[in-house]
Amino acid sequence: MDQSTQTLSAARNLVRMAGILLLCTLVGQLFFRLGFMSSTYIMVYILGVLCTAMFTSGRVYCLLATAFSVLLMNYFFTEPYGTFRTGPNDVVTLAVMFVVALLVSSLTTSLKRQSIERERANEERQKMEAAAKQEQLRANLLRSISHDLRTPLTSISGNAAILMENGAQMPEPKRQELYAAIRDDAQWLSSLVENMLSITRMENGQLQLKTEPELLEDVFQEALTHLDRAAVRHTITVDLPDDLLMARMDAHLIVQVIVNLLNNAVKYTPDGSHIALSARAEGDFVRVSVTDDGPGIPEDAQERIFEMFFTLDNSRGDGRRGMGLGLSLCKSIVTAHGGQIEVRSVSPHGACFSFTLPLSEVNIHE
Amino acid sequence: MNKPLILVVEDDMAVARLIATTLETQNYQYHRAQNGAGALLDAASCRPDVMLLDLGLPDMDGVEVIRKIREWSNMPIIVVSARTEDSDKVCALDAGADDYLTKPFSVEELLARLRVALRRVRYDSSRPGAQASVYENGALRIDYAAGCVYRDGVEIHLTPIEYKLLCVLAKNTGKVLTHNYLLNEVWGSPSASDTPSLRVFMATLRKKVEPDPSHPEYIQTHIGVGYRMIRR
Repeated sequence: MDQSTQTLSAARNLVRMAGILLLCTLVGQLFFRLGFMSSTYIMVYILGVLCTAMFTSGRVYCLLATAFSVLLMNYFFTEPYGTFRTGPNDVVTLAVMFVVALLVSSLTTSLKRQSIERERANEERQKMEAAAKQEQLRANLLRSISHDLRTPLTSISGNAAILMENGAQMPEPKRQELYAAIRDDAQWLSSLVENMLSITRMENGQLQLKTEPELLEDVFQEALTHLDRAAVRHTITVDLPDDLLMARMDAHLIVQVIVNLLNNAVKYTPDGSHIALSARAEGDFVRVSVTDDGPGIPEDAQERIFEMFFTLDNSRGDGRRGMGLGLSLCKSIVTAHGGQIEVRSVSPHGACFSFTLPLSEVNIHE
Repeated sequence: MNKPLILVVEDDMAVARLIATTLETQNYQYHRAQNGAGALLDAASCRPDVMLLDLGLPDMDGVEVIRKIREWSNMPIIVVSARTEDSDKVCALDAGADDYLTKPFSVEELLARLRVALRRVRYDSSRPGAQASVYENGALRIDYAAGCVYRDGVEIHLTPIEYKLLCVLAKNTGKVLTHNYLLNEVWGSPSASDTPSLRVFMATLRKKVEPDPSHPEYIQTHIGVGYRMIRR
């Protein structure tokens, strides 16, 4: 604490102490007129010292209160009244009073200190537990990342090496195949990095959001430009109501959710499948849905599918397992927006992933 | 113009090399600067047609470079940003940049942005300083004198605000205009609570002007940043 805060705090404590003592003296005066015994005033002052210990922050104020209590007791309520002179009995009384007051103030201050320390220790412990959990999550993430990054990286460096060594002797179509493989792996890495960047925006499990009312049609347009190349082999339709639909969101994050859902639909359904991206108002919310007519998600997997690192086995055409980050990230983003994400099966076959966002009224300020 | 000259301001060797290779495939000429000071010198001495400016320069803030260049030149400036936040792009655009690229960008994106910028240069130089009374872009036609807008010869009825918006976009064809800029130009003052209204106005404008609003040909939406009129 700097000088000014220190003096301010000291002044505050002194005022409190003085106030308490004044109050005790006034109460004492009242009791005096009512003809109470002297022991009453002593108790009043000891109570005053106790209050000083509770409401000030520092031993010194208790000591001062103790000393002043004795003096005030002596002056106002001990014969001869109005002086600091005392008879021999009263000296003993005053001395005992002093000792009692001292003990009371000591005990109270140490009790106070103990409880403060215990509270602080508790807070520290909670903070450490949260930090440990965060670390664990981060460690798991890093392990999974380094494992899953190696596959596309191996592929890229391998193909590049082959092209450098034998590229000249290869037939052109074969060469183009390897070039395409390098580009596709780079795209895979790119999506991975995008997802990871979103995760790093999470502090203490909370996403840092900047929300604004956005048009669903703008967000859909943006998402469609970020799809994987494989998307061209599927039919993607957009279904929006005729009226303008707005929801409150952090546009870039929701674009990412939609891109993740669409890319998943592309990855986990055979070529030629239909994927529908739609939005509808539902009360105070907007529901965005991505529906496909692929093989669908088995019921038992539907409960776990939004868990981090959970992936369905062997459903992808190219045998590559997803990192399992996409859907849990989508869930975190949607939850941070105050919405909910869910999956359900559609008939005859397929899956529908949908999430809600707070609806925003379309008001125009001319 | 035969071979356009691009000034590439990029301190990262690998990215600079990639850009250079890309430009060579299109027969563009280029100069390379590695910092802000070099950029200013080269811009003045070799008068490039377009400047590609990386925002993460070691010696100067990219926005400073833009401001200094804008004091004497109207050359298209495309900024390259590594950050996913919109604020640095919006700042650059408000300071006078025309367009932006976010790393990692694909070669196609880079070339597409350069084409837009060069088209603006070509268009502006073919009619120097003339305050045209008619704006023509593809099937779109704005008759400023009469205050009418036509697409394929058929008149489109716009509200006064929609018309003003369209004119601002048209006057800056090829440039990405930030929300703030548009709010200022059309309403006179930017106010955070008006950006959603701007979005709504742009959506209704798009519905009237675009032949297929779900696949816009003229008005591009840049989420979190602004809008741009494309020259067809």
